[in-house]
Amino acid sequence: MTQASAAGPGAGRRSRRAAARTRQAGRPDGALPPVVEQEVPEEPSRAIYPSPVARPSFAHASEAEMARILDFYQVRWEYEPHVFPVVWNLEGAVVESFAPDFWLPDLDLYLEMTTLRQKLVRKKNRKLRRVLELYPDLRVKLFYARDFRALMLKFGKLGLVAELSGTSGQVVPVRVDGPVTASTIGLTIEPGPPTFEEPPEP
Amino acid sequence: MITKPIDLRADIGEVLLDEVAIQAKILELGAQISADHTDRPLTLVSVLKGSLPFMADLMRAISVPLRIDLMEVSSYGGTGTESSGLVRILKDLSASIEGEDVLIVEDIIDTGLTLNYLLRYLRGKNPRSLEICTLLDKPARRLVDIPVNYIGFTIPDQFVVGYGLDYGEYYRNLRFVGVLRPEVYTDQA
Repeated sequence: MTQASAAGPGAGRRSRRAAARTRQAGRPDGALPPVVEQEVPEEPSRAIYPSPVARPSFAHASEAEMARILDFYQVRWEYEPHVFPVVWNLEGAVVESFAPDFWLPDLDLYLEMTTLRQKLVRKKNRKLRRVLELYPDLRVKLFYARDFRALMLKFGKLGLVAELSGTSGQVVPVRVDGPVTASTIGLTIEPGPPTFEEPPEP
Repeated sequence: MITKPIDLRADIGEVLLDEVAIQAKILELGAQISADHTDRPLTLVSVLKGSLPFMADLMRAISVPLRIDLMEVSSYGGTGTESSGLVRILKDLSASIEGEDVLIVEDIIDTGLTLNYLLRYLRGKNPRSLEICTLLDKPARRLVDIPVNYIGFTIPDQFVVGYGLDYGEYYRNLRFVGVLRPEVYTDQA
């Protein structure tokens, strides 16, 4: 089961994009693949303060707020620039990956916002543990709902938390007119049931 | 909009650091800073407004010659979800620090975002050395790793006010550091 299909239809645009990207990170030679550079030319994901006119399409309002905070304090960031494969199938294709929300190049730090339900937080925690097993040198800060709340309290914007957190903070996916097919949501369906397989030692 | 508190003390759920503990720690910090800076004069740079009481007490606990200066930077907090622009220097140093040994005096370090900006700004003024002293350190909230030379207290991940620290500009005049009752800010959210 891929990340996208496991997350279900309400998982939002980002999961689908991530799933589509990880499929490009095939592993035909059996070796641990390099981190995948995201290539989404229609969505400029690089931001250097002052932020450019074009902003990336954030999957969640809390991410957009975090981008504004980083801009304010002149911390350079990139939105989902890298994808880290974490689960491969027997054929070596990536079936699950991790794409941290922000990369702060000057701090060499990844930032992952987790402002959703507790069930999803546990899932993300598990995934992060797996990521750190595979990529021990990675510096990732998981930003929980309570962290975001504390940040908003510090900045006197606590009133915004309700609308920026949880499911209500999610960006509504673009409506697709007509029948929804895999191609209309950017997915490529691969034949056969996927299997979970531990990757070989890097 | 934060409403004016009626009874400052009643809004505090727990006193985290009382006046005696704070003053004892400041004497300790002052002695350590004095011992570390015997050969050259020191410039203390206080970051307004929160560090004002700490600066006032710390400078008197340091026995070596020193100069003081004040800075203030804007804080994030735009209205709604609109952009708040960029951090700005609201009050700059009044004298050059080029070639000086500088000690930044902070009330609290949590995310490290403000201090990270300030460090970059002050490095551009070519001081001989740049050190940091903070009364409170909240490492659980850290986004930017910053080497801190002098730390008074490492505190848990709670929202604290008093001894310079504010909520909506109030509570700074408390003589202790306390945890604000959550209902104070949740009622106003």
